[in-house]
Order: sequence, then C-alpha cells, then structure tokens
Amino acid sequence: MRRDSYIFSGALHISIALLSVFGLPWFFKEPPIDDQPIVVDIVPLGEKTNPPPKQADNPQPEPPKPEAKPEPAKAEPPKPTAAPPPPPKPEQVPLPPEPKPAPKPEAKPEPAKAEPPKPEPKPQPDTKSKSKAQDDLESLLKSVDKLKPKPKDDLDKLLKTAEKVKATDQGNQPLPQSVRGSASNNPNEPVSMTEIDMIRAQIYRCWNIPAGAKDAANLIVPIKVRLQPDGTVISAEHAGDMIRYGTDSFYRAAADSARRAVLACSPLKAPPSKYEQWRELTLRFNPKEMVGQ
Amino acid sequence: MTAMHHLRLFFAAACLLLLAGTARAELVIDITRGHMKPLPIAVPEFNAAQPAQAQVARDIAKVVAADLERSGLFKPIDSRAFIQTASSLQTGVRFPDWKQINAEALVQGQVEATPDGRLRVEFRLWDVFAEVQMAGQAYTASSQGWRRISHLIADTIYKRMTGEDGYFDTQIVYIAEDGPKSNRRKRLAIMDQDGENHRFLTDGSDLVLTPRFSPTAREITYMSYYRGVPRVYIFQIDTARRELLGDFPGMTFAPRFSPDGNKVIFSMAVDGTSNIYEMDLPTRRKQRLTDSPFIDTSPSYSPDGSKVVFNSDRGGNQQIYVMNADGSGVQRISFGDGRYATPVWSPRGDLIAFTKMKGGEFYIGVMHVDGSGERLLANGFLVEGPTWAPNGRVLSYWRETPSDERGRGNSSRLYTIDLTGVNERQAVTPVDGSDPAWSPLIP
Repeated sequence: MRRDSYIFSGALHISIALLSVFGLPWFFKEPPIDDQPIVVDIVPLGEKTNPPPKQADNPQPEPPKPEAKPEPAKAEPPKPTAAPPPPPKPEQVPLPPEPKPAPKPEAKPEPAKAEPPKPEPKPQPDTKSKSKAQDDLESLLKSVDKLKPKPKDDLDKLLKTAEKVKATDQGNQPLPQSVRGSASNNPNEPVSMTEIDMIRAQIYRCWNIPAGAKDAANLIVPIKVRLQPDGTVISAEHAGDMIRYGTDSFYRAAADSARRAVLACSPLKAPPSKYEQWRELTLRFNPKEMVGQ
Repeated sequence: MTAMHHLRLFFAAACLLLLAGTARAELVIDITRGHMKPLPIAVPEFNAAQPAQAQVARDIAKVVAADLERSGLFKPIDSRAFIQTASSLQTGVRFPDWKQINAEALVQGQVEATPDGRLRVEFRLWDVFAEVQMAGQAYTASSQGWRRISHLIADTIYKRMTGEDGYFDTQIVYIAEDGPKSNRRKRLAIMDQDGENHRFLTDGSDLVLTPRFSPTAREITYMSYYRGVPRVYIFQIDTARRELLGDFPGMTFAPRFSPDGNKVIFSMAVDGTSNIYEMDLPTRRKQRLTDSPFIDTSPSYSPDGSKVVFNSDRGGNQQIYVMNADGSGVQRISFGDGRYATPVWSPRGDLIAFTKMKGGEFYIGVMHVDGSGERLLANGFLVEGPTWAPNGRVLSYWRETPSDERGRGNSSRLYTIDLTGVNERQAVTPVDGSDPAWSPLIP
C-alpha cells in the first residue's frame, strides 16, 4: 500500500515538474510581433502588402566571378515543392550545370527589367519555420534603433544591395540572399505591395534627414504633393505651420529636406490605373524614429 | 405622413450620406524613415569681378568647402564633376546641370574690390531641386580678412541647411608642446579652428597651463608658474598685452570666465583640501563657494550663469556635482563606475562633457545635466580635457598616444569629434598640443 502511494506521489511530482518546465513559458510568451515589413524592392502591386516568404538562413554568397554571371550561391531551402517550379524564362542566361535539382533564376544586376515580373498565381510551397523567433528583418530594425547616437548605414547597405537584385519571379524560387523574407507572408497570394508602400519605399530612399536636430520628437513636416499621371512631381509644397517655418531653424531645415526628398524622387513609380487615388498626396515626414537624442 | 413615408425618407437620407461618405479622401502617407548622409553640396570657385581677385575667389571657395566637409555633415562635390562651369553661373544657374550630379545645394559667389581697396564678397545659396534661393549675403572686409569672410559664409550655409548655429568663425587656443619628454617646452598657441593663422603667444620660458577664453573671445586666461608659484594671467589677443590677475598659491587649473565676463571661477588647494572660489573681476574680491574637507575642483558655469558643475571626491571617488552659482544646493549627478573629471557645460545648456577614467582607459563622454543618458564618444590610452564649440555640437579634446617599447612615438595631438560620436578628426597643429579651449563665435 505504501509503495503505491510512493509511485503515485512520484508520478504526480514528475508530471507537475514537466508541466511547469514546458507549460509555464507558454504564459509568458509574447504575442507574435506585428510584422511591418520594410519594402526594399519594387514588386508588383496587389491588394495588400504580401512580402516574400521567410527563408532559412543562407550561407554567404560566393564572391562573384568576373566574367561569369555573378551568381549568389544559395542553399536550397528545404521546401517540399507542391507544384513543379516554372521553367526558366527564355531571356535568362543559361546556368552552369549544377548538382541541384531545381533550376534557379538568375539575379541579374543589369537593368533587365524590360520584362515586368509576372505575378505567378502558383501556390507557393509551405514556408517552413514561420518561427516567431527573431525575424531577420526585426533584428535589423532593432539594431538600427540602437544605433541612434551613431547613425550607421546598415539600412542603406541593405537598400543598395537589394536595388542591384532584379525583382525575381515570385513563386517558389528561392530568393536572392539579400532579400529577407518575412513571417507574415501569405503563401497563397503572390508577393505584392500596396501603392502606399510603393510610394513610401521610394521616398525613404530619397530623404536625407538633417542629423542631430533638437526636439526631433516634435518635427513632423507635412508636404503637399501633386503628381502627373506618369509620376512626375508637379509641385511639392510645405503644408505645415508657416510661422514655425519662419522662426524655428530646425523645423525649417527638416521641412526643406522633406521637400527636397520629394523633388529628388521625381518621377515616382505608381500604378497609372489608380492615378485618381494618388494624384494629390500629403506626405507626413517624421524623423523621430531615425533621430535619437 | 405615414410611418412608411418617414422610413423611406430616412432610408433615402442614409443612402445619400453613405454615397457622400464614399467620396475620395486625400491620401496621407507617413514617412518615418530615410537616411542620414552628408549632404552633397556644390561649391564652385567664386567669380572674380577683376582678375586680381581670382586667387582670393578660389581660396574663399576652398575654405568654405573645407569647413563644410570638416563638420562631417556635408560632402562637397568634386569640381571635376561639374557640368555648368563656375564662370557661366553669373549669367544664370542651370539647375538641371546641378540636379544631374545630385547636388542638393549650390553655393555661388562673387568677389570684387571696392574703390577704397577693400574686398566685397557676396554669395547665394541655392536649393537645386526646388530651384529657389535659400540664403544670400554680402560681406566687406580688408583684403586680409578673406578667411574670416569664408568662415562666416560657411556658418551661414551650415545654419541654413541644418538649423544649428555654425562654429567655423572661431579660434582654438591650446598648449603647444615640443621637445623631449624629459624637457618639454610648452608655449601658448592660438589658431583658427581649421588650423590656419597659427601663432605662438608665449616663448616657452615659463610653464603655461590650461588656457581659457573669455566670453568676448578676445581675452584668454591661463596659468603660469613664476618661481614655482602658480599665477594667473589675462592675455589680450588683439593687443598681445598680458595682465597679471594675481598669485594664487595652490591653484591647479586656470579660472573659467562666467558667461557675462565679470567673474571667474577657480579652485584652490589649501592644506590638503581643494575648494571652489569665485572672484569678481572689477573688484577682485574672492568668495568661497564650497567648504568641504574634500577635493572640489575643475568648476564650469552653465551658459546662463545660474549653476556650476564641478568634480569632487566627497562621495568616495571622483564624481560630477552640480550646484547653484552661490554654492548652495550641491547635487551629485554622476553615479557610474570609474572616475569623472573636467566637467564642462555645453553652450547649448543641455549637456555636460567630461573625462572618464575606468579600467585603465580614458574616455570623453557627455551626459544630460541631471546625469542621465551618459554616452561615451571617444576613448584611448589618454584622452582628456573636452571643450565645446560654441554651437554645442562639436567637442575638442586632446589624445596622447603612448611611446613604444623603445621610448619613441609618444605624441599628444588635438582632436575634434561630433556630438553623435562620429567624425573624429585630428586637428592640424605644427607641433604636439594639449589642453585646447574653443572660443565663442568671434564678434
């Protein structure tokens, strides 16, 4: 009889221990981070912003061979391919023979954007590891935040390398090394972005923020922009407090930099079919995130 | 009116309202990111009205571009990339040419000689993409004053583009050192902040220490030893006349001026303790501000003159304290590991710079006036003695590198660094230097 009670007690202890070790952290798990992707490349428009799928970490690309096509070495993400991958497009340079099973598209640095990437309505393979653990993009954001006293250009480098990468086909091709996916990818829709994100991404690239401004928390500058159907900027006018513009030299510097950014970005790429939506914009420039004190 | 009628009316009204609601609202997009890069600016040669001014016109543009580049916030575009030539600017700015080389701003200037032999310089600052003039000024000076005009132009451009006051029309006074370590010759020296117009103010026969500027930037105090006794001099820069403020046995640092220029504050060591004193310059009356058995030293006024920051070891080790200008309300503001010394209040009033010693390394850092937000900007074997540029944005200090195992290579040079911690640059001096002090903007 006593032995039974020992066994029962031991089992109860072990089960409670197991429950606390594996179950308790569940209470303290943070809610999944609402993923606001940084769009670094212009991809086709869609109803919503659907970033490319997150990949497992790839090894560093090989140094580009001079005469050969600069082909970043990619580790094939272990994805079970539901549908056969699309045949390589005719204008792509033939790849050197590879032991890998699926042919990969070239990431050509030349402006071979003649062929607009067609959104492939193929179902993408299930993205593995939609882990809520550190998203590459999130960690990049965080490190940019930490660098506020020493503004570095990590984000810029990322933007630059992404620019060189041709917008590849969406679908099940693995992405070039510099394109980081995101956990909020919806595998059933093609990669896309809204017009708003498209305009935002372009302005991000053009805006040179005056550094070290005082009261950066309070420097929101509205700029009213009028655009032609082809995206050329007709006018970009400061639409904020004119008295403040005349008296606060920091506000004026920020406002001028914002206006310059819009003018330098002309012509903006935006879908002509939705011209009525974006022909008149108000852009609210807010350097708070970038300028720390 | 029947209830049905009311209902239909209401329904119709609701439909109308809904339709009105679907009218397009203007699109508002938040832009929260960008990049921070030095602003590309084009500074072509200034135009000379007469050929005799051609060299000055070129030199002025060069000094302006060098000032802007040294600040780390601007990137002057190489003149070989210019599409429109400097001389054709007089007939009109061809903005597409400058847009093409990605110049966000353009400086256009003209130099001419006035009938009485002076120099007249005018310049315009153009916003290339908006195609509007942002600033324009004209200056007249003697022909030797062209450097000051260049610095004033650079200050105007800097202020217009960044919103901050400029700091280019300033001077730096420091202790120039040469000779072997065992027999160092120390001379007082002064130069423009870009290293030009350098001259020695003393001959090195006496040991000189810790020069400071007065708020008018035309006087310097410094300490010298005369027969072993520390004495304080006031040196007039324009007339090179020197006046003795007094002998102060036990003084270790030269006094600092108050912001209104009427008082000086200093510390004196007496019988093993060191306290802070204030002296009224017109009456030469001394008033003791701290009265502790500890070592209180290195005081510095706040820019409004109401508070004083100093370092003291009354808390156990050397830390930074703030008190009212009359000596009351002493409060400790630094609590970190290590020793804190030489605190200086920023001319903007928002930060205090200091030297920190920790773990065998030296650091230059800043913190808010309540002690929070401590940030270390520079470090090294020995970095010490921060001094603020008048816009509170740039610091200067000196850095000593140790000698190697053969006893050679020891050097002591002046450096400047931006408040964000980037753009650390060595200041150009003819010989080694230490103990810099940055002047206010020259009136």
